[in-house]
Amino acid sequence: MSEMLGNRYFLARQFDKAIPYLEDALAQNPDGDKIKKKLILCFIQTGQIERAFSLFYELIEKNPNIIIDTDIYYDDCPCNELIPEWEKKSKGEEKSLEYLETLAMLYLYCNVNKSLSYLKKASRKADNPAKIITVMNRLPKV
Amino acid sequence: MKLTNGKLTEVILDSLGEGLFTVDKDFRINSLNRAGEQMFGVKKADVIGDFCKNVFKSKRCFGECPIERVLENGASVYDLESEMVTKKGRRLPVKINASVLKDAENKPIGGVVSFRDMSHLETIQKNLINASGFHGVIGRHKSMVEIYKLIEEVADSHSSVMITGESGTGKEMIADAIQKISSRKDKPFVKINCSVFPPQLLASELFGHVKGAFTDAVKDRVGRFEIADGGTIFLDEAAEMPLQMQVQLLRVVQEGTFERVGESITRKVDVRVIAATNKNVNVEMQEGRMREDLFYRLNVIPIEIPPLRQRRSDIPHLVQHFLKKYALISGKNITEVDDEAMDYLTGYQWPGNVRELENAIEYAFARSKDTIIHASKLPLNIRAGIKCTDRLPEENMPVQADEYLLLKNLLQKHQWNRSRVAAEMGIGRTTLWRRLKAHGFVNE
Repeated sequence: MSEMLGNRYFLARQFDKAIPYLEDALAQNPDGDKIKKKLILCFIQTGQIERAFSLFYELIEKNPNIIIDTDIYYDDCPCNELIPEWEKKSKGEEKSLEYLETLAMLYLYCNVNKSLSYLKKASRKADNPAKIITVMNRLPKV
Repeated sequence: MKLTNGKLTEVILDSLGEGLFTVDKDFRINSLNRAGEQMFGVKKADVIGDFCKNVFKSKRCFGECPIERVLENGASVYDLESEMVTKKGRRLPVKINASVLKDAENKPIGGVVSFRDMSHLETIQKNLINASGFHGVIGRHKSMVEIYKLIEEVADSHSSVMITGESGTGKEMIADAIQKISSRKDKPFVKINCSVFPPQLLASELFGHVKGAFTDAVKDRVGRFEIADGGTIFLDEAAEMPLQMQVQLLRVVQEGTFERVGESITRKVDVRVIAATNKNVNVEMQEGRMREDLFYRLNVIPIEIPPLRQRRSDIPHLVQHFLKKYALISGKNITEVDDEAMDYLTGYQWPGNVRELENAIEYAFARSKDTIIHASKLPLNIRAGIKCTDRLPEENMPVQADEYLLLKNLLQKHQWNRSRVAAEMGIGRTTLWRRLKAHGFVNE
């Protein structure tokens, strides 16, 4: 399996196709932070929010700046395209925990404050908010 | 002074006439040669490290990236038509070659893309198409107009097409026209001549093979059907396919499934099939060389192209088209053929059809120094043919009636401007006058 092909699908925003290639690349390089950052977004876009949050948590525990320092243009980060789609999705509806976690994760790639605000809401909604609170505590207060 | 390896590579790349760039495994540009800089109006230093999609802005960057195709299929891409956008926003038609760069462990670590500027060729093509008729197909005879109508009617269909016609009638051009206006026009269009491969190789060409499937199969190979997935495949000389292959082809046409040679995994594709043959299909079926079930599967939309001798009124248009084509290619200012030459051309039987006519014009072009092609510059067989063979009228319409109607229409169209009528017919004013007189349009 080729990491390069996974990268290509990610660039073309074919997140579902990218997953198996990036997962394989991660298996060969378990410390691959760049791969993890991409996989989080791929999992989000394919509805695998739990898996996305698990990887997200791993990176935050290691160093939150891995995500915070993302450059939208230089890293070809799609969060600017994805956030409006997600915000539009549940307009007027009650926000689920998954929805709040998703936006918290997406916003951390481009706006720490917004991410924190969604994390706070998610922590209030969660039955067991321990991990969310850990993430909040690891983030710099801006 | 000696050059270091890196510098030497740069000098070599900069000496190429084709544009070329390389990317790393993240698709960030890590080199761009001088021709590429000039074509796109960018400086290498400004684009190194940027994603190729941000620099070249081709629609393929968001759909079928050539490097993606190489990574998926394992085979390099050659002459893929595409468009890029220059820094100033100008659309640049290009032909692309692409390959993947691999490390010692055979893992992809980057890609190389070379591209040729095809603007000049596109201008030639546009001029020719505008001057012709239907997506590059020349001809205004009613039989051809019927074909154009049919192609337009079935443009959105995914059904198989069977094109029949003598050798040289333009079956491939009709296939091109179908592809150009179909809903699959932006998808792969793969062509294969079935008569040139021995049976074992044909199976491998069409369906691919796995390493070790036969003696020369040293690595896995993707077949044409897989490459054409989502698009169209043109099977030229389909009736000459061995019977065993016809069974396999029938299955792909019916179900879209096949196996690579030497492999048991069933693969599925979505490919529209356009088949062509110059054989008499009924005879081929009667004599057991073509399976009936395959024929009926392929013949959902039948298109029969008439031989050139049955549409002689198209000859002047074709001559005019080829004159323009070779003038653009050669740079020679030859704009017409003289009356005597046109008489030879319209009177000849053309067993090799349009292809033979084009060859004759190319031959005459090469021999002519003047701005007019004289009869003496035509190939000998054409000049001899008229002497030993009486002109045969078109089968479906007498020449005289056909020409009368043609003249009448053109005179009306050009408000009796004889120079314009002569120009459109590709004949001289004297020949036109003679023909007008013969049909009673003029009395002087």
